[in-house]
Amino acid sequence: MKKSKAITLVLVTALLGCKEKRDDNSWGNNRLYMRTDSTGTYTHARNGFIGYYIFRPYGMFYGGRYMRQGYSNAGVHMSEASITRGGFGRSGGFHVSS
Amino acid sequence: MQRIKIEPRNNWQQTVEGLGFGFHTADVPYWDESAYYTFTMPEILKLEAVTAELWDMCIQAVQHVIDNNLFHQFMIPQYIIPHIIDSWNNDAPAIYGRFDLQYDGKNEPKLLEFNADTPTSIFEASIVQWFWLKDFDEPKDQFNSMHEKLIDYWKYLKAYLYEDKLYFTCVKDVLEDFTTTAYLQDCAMQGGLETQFIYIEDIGWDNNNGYFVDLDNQPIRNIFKLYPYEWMIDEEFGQNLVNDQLKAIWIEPSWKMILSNKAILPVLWQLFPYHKNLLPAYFTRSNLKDYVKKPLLSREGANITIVENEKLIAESEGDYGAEGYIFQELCKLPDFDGNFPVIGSWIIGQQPAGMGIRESSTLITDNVSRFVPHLIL
Repeated sequence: MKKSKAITLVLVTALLGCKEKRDDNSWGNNRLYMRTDSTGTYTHARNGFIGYYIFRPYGMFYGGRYMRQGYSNAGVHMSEASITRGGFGRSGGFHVSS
Repeated sequence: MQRIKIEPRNNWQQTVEGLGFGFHTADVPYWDESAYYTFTMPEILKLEAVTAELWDMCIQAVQHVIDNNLFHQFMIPQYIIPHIIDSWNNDAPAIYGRFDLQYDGKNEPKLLEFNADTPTSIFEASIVQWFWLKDFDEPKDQFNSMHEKLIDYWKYLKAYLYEDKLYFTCVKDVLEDFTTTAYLQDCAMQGGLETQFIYIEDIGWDNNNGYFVDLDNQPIRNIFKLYPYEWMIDEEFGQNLVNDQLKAIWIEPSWKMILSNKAILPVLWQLFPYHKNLLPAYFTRSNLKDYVKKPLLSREGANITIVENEKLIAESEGDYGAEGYIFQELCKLPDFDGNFPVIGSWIIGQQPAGMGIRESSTLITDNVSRFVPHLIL
């Protein structure tokens, strides 16, 4: 039953361990900011690499349409007409515990 | 099996937050180390063996549902059925599942349900309770090899994925889901996989090419989701699961829709009648006098009704039940001074891997249940 003597978390503690900073006034009690840098896109994580995630709303449903919000000028390709986003996640806001 | 009261560690909140466990307390405490459960090794070996046997039975049940085209009993929409069958026939990778068991340490464990698609509490079970044990009584052992098995299985699965990165996705703004997903991604990274995170709301669909894309409009070929199929298939992109020209590998695979549906409980009872680890279960009330009525699709103990001797003894509210219900013989959770534990026994990479215990103050394990650690004597 025993685990290895040393358990390493590459990503979780880097993202969440003692690094959280709440801003309840802006986003509500259940929202959590993670440190991000000015590049503003999702970090591409590779094995052994500890990066930053942006953990804040990137978009939301508003008036029945998906509205993108909160992105910085990170060069994320949003302008292509052939791409549709927001087709999953309408049940967002509830967590999925089972 | 015993429940022992203890004093929580000093500054336990800080300790668990240091691990990345930020959702230990909501409106009510979730992580509860004011008590722990003890098990003897024979009890653990029993749970381990039962978990392996139930998994084997579940696999047979999936084949039975597909062979006999029983999807209507699960209220699964017609359009997604070919995707489910393909994922089954192609042996699409599946990582994990959690059996919820009734167990009192004396009688045979009984299957209450199987959380096969989006089981949560894996981070608490694998990491948080393990580090609790190290602080509390390091020489002792725990039914817990989940972390190693997750890493090993991701490593093994690499050969079965497309030669591309593996995306991880969950909903925005829910710390519990994000932590669970990040933990699984963490294990995959340690297993040598190249990974990337994207919120599920941000997944795109390339209408010209007919595939899912990330925020850089790059195709998504492998993706782990902490988001239930029953939600996905009712949403705008649901049809795209079938239309996807790249046939992306979704983990868990869509055949898990069969096992995560409560309709699997009467199917199991039909296939393995009077099995020692099953409870009688039916699509109608049948001749049950003491029973639990469960929606086919529900979460966190919502919309459950418990009837004993024709009398309602417990019920929970919720928004589920539109798809119908099943009826399962009542098997009350053991009562430890007003605490009712349910065993969450994990299967990872086809193998029993450990357990977590959630206890409630009522017979229904709901969204205010508490996670309580355990050790082996």
